[in-house]
Amino acid sequence: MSKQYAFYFDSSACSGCKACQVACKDKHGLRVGLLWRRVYEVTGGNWRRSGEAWISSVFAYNVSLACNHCEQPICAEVCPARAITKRADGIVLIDPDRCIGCRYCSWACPYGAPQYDAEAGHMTKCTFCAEDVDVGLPPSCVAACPLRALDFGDRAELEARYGAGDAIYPLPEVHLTEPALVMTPHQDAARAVTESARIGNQEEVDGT
Amino acid sequence: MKERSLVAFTLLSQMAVGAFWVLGALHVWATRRAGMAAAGALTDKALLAIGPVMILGMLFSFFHLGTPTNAWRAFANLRSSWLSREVLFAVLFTGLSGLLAGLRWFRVGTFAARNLIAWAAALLGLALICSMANAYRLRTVPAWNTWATPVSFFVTTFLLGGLTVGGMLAGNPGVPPGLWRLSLQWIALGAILLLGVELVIVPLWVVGLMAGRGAAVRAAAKITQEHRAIFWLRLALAVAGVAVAGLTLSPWGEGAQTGIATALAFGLVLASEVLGRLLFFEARVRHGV
Repeated sequence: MSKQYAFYFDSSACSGCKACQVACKDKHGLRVGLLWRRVYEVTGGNWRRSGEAWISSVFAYNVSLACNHCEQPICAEVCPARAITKRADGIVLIDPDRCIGCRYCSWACPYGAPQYDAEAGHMTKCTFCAEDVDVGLPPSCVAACPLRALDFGDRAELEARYGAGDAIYPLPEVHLTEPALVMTPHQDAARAVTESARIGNQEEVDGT
Repeated sequence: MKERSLVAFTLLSQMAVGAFWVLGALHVWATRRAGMAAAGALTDKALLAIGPVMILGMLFSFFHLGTPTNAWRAFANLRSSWLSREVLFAVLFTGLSGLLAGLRWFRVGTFAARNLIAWAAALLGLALICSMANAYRLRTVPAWNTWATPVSFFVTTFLLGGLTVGGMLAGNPGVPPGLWRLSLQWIALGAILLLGVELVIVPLWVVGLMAGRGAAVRAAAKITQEHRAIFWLRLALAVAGVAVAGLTLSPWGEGAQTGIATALAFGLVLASEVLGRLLFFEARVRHGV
């Protein structure tokens, strides 16, 4: 079986400190508005009255998300300029010299990974820090996480180590693109589906 | 309301392809009815406009790119990208329809050669609309990934195409009067039928989204709540288009009134289609984040 690099994210361990987001932004010198790794703050639940008392059932958890270097990368499939390619080790990269800046990949990707750099006139996205990974170093987001909530490696090995779970809110169903993402869900992730959860920091993750 | 350049590109190219087909049908019909010269008087001038309309549409598309100097690379992924195929067919259709207009205008080439080019251009036009519809049928965008996208794109193609030809003929006094009025009436009849189809498929599309979940429901809410006024105005303009086009078929619609009613119907339907396409792009709500 060929290698497929993947990220591992432990939602039950993430405190939402965003060290991963900042480390990525810093390493790649991303402009304002570009966030190759984003931490989605999911909130849900409510307060309910029980006699004289108000009982809280609110919940919150974080999802740290970058490009998932999908096994079926829809961005590469739809890109008219063949500017997006998948390496033999599974890493999906954008060639800025080939990109025409049509933004079609950003319409298609359900993870918000390809992002448009208006100043440069082309799309950008997480590179899995391929130049570091190639010399045996971890991606900057993984290295920066103080809670060890992020890891990386071969997808099959990560699944063997952490188990292969289903997608949790707000992520889409995995059959759409077969993301190379292994997750340990937060204990309240199942409630997000039934208790009208929402993303609490939408403006931040949208880069607006 | 974003993506105005793509609203312009998609509508102008659909208008051009539809007009090409309608002009072809009119030409065949008029040749049988009144001979080649009368048919030429009916369609040759209008045919000259197809190429410029396509070029205008492609200019809108070209300048929305972040790196227009790389635009030539847009053909690079014909194997899997419907967008690549759309660009290819748009260029080929523009080239062949322009060539045909030139040959007809300057009376160059044999009838058989011109006929062959006309059929090739017409089929390339259909391929363009097919590719365009598939380019928007992204599996991650539920409001676009439905039967309604290709159906509504083809309805718009022939609806706008027909009325564009009608609008151009309305101001063309060089056509034999009997042929002129009958042509406009055929166009009006076709437009009324297509508007009827549109008035069925638009509500069905929205109701289908409402019955879905997640991103589909959010897309429906954008159309029917956030942009409610535009949605209803778009439908009202389509109904008004039916009514005005119907005037050309009534006893009132004789002489100059036929032309005025056709031009007015074109204006109403164009406005309706622009609003409809703006709503289509607003419905781009993805699965996921």
